[in-house]
Amino acid sequence: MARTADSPVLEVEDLTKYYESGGGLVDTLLGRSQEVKALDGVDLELYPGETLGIVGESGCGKTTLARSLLQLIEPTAGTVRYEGEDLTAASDDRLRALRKDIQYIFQDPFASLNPRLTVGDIVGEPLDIHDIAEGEARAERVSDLLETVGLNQRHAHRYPHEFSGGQRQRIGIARALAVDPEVIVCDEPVSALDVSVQAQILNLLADLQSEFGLSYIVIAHDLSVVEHIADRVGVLYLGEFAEIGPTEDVFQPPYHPYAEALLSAIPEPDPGWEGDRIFLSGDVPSPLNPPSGCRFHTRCPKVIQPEGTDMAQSEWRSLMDLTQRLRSADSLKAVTAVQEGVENEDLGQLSRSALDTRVRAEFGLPDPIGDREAEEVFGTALDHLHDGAFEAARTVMSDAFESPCERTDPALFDVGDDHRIACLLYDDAYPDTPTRTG
Amino acid sequence: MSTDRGRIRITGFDADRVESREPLSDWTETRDTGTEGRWVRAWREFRRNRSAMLGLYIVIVMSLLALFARPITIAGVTVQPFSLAPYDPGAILYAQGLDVSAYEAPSLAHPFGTDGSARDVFSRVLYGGRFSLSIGFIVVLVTAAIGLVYGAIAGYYGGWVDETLMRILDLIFAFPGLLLALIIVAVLGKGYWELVLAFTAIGWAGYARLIRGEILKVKENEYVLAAKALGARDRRIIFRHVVPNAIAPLVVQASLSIGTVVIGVAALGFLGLGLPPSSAEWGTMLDQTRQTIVQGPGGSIPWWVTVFPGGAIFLFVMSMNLIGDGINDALDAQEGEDVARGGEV
Repeated sequence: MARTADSPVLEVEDLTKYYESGGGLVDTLLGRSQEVKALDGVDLELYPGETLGIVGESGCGKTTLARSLLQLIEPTAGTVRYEGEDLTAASDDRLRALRKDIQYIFQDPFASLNPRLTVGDIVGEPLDIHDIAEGEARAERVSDLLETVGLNQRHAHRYPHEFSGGQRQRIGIARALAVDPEVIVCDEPVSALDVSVQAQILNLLADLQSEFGLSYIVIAHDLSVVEHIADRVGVLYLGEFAEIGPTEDVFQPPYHPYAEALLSAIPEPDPGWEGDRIFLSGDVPSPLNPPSGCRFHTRCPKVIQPEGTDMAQSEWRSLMDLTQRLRSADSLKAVTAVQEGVENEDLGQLSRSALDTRVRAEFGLPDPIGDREAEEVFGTALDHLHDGAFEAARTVMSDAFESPCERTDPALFDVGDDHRIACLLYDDAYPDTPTRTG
Repeated sequence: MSTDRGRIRITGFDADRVESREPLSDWTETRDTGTEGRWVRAWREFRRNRSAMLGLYIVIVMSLLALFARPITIAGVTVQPFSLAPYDPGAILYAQGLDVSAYEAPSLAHPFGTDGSARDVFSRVLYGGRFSLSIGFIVVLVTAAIGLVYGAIAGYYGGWVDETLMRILDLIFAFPGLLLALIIVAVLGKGYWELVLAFTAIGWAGYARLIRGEILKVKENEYVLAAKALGARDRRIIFRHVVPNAIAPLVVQASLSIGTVVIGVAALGFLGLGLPPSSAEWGTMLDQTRQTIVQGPGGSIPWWVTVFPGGAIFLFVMSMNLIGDGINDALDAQEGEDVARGGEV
C-alpha cells in the first residue's frame, strides 16, 4: 500500500522503557539496583492503512515496544500520540475509551484466551466493556465477527481448548476486531503457529486490512513474514532502531550492517545455493550495560577504522574483539585459544611465543599482522600479558585501536526516500567508507 | 552452485492455493453436542467417586435429620412442622412425669439412652447437628468469601498493597488459631453467633493466603493482559478472569475445613467455652458427661452418653473429608494442567 500524504495515525517519539533489575527494597535504598535498557528512545510513525513491520532478535525490545505503545506497561519516557492525543498523559478513563481504537493481538493463542470462558464470551467481552451491544445485537455481532475471521458461528458456545492454534489465533483476531479499531498491534501473530497455518493467518490479516482500512504494527523475528506483510520495516537492535524504511528498500542495499547480517541468515530452500552468510562475532551485549557509541560496534563486521589506519577489515575486527575481550576479562583464559584435551593448565607458565600463538589462534590474527604499527602495538600488549599486567595491556590496546563507532552514537541518516539507517558508514563525516553501496 | 536467492520458490503464501487447500488441513466437526462447563464435568467425575458419594449421602442425611429434628418456628409461624426427635432435647424427662431415670441404658424407648439429667440422648444428638453443622457451613462460607476478596486484592494489586495486607495476615497467623478463638469467646461470652465470629476471625487468613498465591500465578497469564488491552476495569479482570481460574484450590480447602471448624466448635464446647452448658451441641454434650468416662455411678460406665455425640462428630467430619477429597480429585486442583482447562469432556 502506498504511503499517503495523510498525517500519521500513530506517532511515537523517544519512547523509552527501563526496567529495574534485581532490586529489592534494600538494594534500592543502597542505590544498588540496575536498569535494563529494554527500549531506548524509539521514534516511529504509523500512517493510515499501512503495515509497519518491526524485526529484531530475542531480547531486543520488540514486545516491550508493542506493550508500551498501548500503555500496557508504562514507558519510562517518551510520548505516544494517537491522532494527536498523547496516550502517556491520558487519564485512565480516557485511555480505556481509546482502547477501542488501538487493539492488540497476542503472540501465544494458547495463553491469551481465558480457558474458563466460551468463545462467544471472549469475543463478546469488548462489547460488554464498552457497552457496544447487548442481548440479541450482541449475539449477532459475535457471530458476525466469527464469520469475518473464518470461524463457524456455531463455535460460539465452545471453549478455547477445543480449537487448534490457528483457530485460536482467529478468535484472538475476532476479539481485537470487536471494538472496530483503527490500529492493531500484532505481537508476533504467527510465530506460535505451524508454518502452514501462518500463511492463512497472515492472509486473513491482509484481507481484514483492506476490508476495514486497518493500520498494523507487526512485530516479528521472521524476516520472510515481515517481507510478506509489511509496507515499511524497522530493524530493532538492543532497544534502538538500526534501520527503518520501505520494505523493498530495507531488503536491498544500502544496508545497515546488522540488517545485512539478518538478511543473509534468511534460509534458502535451494540446496544448490551457497550464499555468503555473515556470521556475527560475539554475543548480544547485555541491555544492563549496552555498548557505548553505536550499540552494534561490538559485533559489527564493518566497524570503522580510525583515521590514518588502513588494514584489512577482518584483522581490524579481530583486534577490536581482542580489545573488547580484554576490557571485560581478567585472566589469560579469556584471551587464549583452548587446547583440546588439556585441562586446568597454568597459562602463566606459557612462554612468550607460545602465548603469542595461542592469542592469535583465538582471534584469528595472522602472524605478522599486515599493518606494521598494529603488529607493534599487539607485541607490546602481549609483553604486558606475559608479565601478568592486564591493566597495562588493556590500556595499550584501547589507546591504539579505538573505532569512531565506540565514541559516536549514530543518528538515523537519510539514505533514500524515507529510508533511514543508524550507522556512521552513512554519515557524510566519514566519506571514505568502503561499502556504501553494499 | 549459485549465490542467487529465489531459484526455488515456496508458493505457500499464495492466497488462492492456501484457500483451496484449507479443507484438507482444516479441523472438522467431530461431534455436534454442546460442550459441558467444568462444574458439570467435575460433578460427573465426583459422582463416580464412591467414597465421596458415601460422604455426601451421610452429610445430606445428617443435615436432614438435624433440620427435621424439631419443628422450626419463625415469628410465630411454623415453617417446618416435622419432629423426628421423640423428645424436646432440653427436656428433663422425669420432671415431665415420665418414668425415666438418669443414665438409663439404650432401650427401644430411648435408643441412645439418657444422660445425667435424664434427657433423651437420641433427641439431643439429632438436634445437636443443627449447631455443629450450621456453624461449620456458615463459618466456612463467610471465611472463604472474606479470604477470597482479601487475597484477590493483595495478589492482584501487589506492591505495597500486598505488603500491607500480608503483614496484617501474619499478625493473625502469629496466634495459635484455637487459642485466639478461645480468647474471643471468653471476651464476648458464650453463644452461637459469638462462636461464629470467633471461628471467622481465625479462619479467613488461610484462604486469603491460599488465594493470593494462586492469583499471583494466574495474573501473569496473557489473557489477563488481553483483558487490560480491551479496556476492562480491575474489578472485571479480577472477578471474571483471575478468580475463576484460581478458585479450585479454595473450593477444596473450604470443603475440607468444614470438618475442622466442626471439630473446633466441639473442642471449645468440650472446654466449656462453647454454647451454654445445657445446649445440645455435640462438644458441649461431651463436656457435660466427661466425668462418666472415668467412673459412672455404681461402678458401671454409661458409654452411650459419650459414644453417640462423639460418634456423630466423627461421622460428620469424616464425611466432609471424603467429600473434600472427592472435590479435590474432581477438580484436579493439584494438577495445574487440567485446572487450566474449561469444559473438558
